[in-house]
Amino acid sequence: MKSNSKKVSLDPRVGLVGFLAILVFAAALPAGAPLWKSVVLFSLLLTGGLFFSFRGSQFWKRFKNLVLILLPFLAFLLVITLLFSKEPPGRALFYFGQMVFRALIVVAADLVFILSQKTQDLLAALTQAKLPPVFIQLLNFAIRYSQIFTKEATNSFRARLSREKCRRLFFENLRITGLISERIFWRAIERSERIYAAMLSRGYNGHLYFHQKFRLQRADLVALISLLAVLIFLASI
Amino acid sequence: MELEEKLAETSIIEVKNLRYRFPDGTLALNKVSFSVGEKERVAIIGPNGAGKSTLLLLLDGLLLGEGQVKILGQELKGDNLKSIRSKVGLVFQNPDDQLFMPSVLDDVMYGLCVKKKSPDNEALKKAKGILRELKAEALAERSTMSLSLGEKKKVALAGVLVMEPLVLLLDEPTSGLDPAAKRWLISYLSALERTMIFATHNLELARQLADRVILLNRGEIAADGRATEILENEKLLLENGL
Repeated sequence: MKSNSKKVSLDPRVGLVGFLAILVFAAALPAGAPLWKSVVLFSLLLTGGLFFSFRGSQFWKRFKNLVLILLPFLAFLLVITLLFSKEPPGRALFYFGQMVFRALIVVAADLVFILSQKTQDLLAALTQAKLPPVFIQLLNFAIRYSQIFTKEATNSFRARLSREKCRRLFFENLRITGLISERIFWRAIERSERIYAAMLSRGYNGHLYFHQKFRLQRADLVALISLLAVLIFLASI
Repeated sequence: MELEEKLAETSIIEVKNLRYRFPDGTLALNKVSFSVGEKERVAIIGPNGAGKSTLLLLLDGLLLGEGQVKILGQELKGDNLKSIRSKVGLVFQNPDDQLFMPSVLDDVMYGLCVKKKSPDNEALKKAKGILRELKAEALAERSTMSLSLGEKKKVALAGVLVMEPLVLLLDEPTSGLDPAAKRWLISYLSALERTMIFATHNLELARQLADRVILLNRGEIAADGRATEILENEKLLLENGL
């Protein structure tokens, strides 16, 4: 483990394995499993996030943002559960509660194990773990293009706001948003062509190289073994 | 004739009747011919859409046009692009187009790693050295996306300079920089002893940095000569949209 801007930073490979293990656990938990198992795991992750991975209120802020994204899906799921479930309402709500907890567990695990890492560290660790170069490149460029897309979208919508003098009708707004989205899409494509030209100009040969080299510390191994032990314990009782 | 032959012998870049059309059919460059000698500093000036950036892309082999482009005596063709690109470094106008690795140090050392096919200590040392030279050492471990425009420009320049190109091509090197950063960049580039071609709108930059100026307008060379002669000819500049 290393200390930097965060409180404690796991080796990115340990972070990735930890996240995958929790993902598998959350997906493989049987439908009728007692709710306390999810509650225990979720509480452990919250503790990890609050006391080890993030400083101050950063964890709560990020957690809140991710949950806000999740909220419409959960609301949709609740409606579907109540309307179409053949189970009695109490049981249907129990299943819904389980799904909510699983989603929250995945969000918290994502924060603790993935989003607390620097992008460059994650990519370097994946390279060091000998993952196929195509996978690393896809991940790197997906991140790069999402940054471009976000930047272009922010600029376009700001420009639109600055020119709006009066309120528009809903459908007019929708039409303009559609036009802006099309423009952003084309701009992102143009930008990606320029980035590719710049890559070629520096000799791009289909590989990415990272200078960081990670060495597993005892603390990383202890953290990973403890997590796996907790997961196995929860799954077995 | 004798002088011309001598010039041709020492010229690093030779362009003859270069012509390029964009995929939509618009003629971007037409009958462009010039040569650039060793360690000569040439400013390509001209209004928007004159073809300055396109010319730089053609010189780096990123676009292929009709006519002849020779870099260090080698004609630019599909089969020798890699070897020519290793001798020619292009710094793009917008550094966001150029930086593609997540961290500054990885981006700067990318060109070296490609040559050696691995990120070894020598490449790391060289990359850190060039960042130090550009007073950007503190940025090494930062994410390329979290930098200011001036910092991004420095990192983009470092990523090209670290490869020690014989020819340096710069597209609008000072655009978007604050006055202090502009002054610093001009003084840094002035001290570099390298063949340099830069495209710019900034006549002051051309005056301070260039030995020679090529004035492009609507894809054709409107004037080519000593920087002092062309930049003091107000009538010529006005006639060509500057």
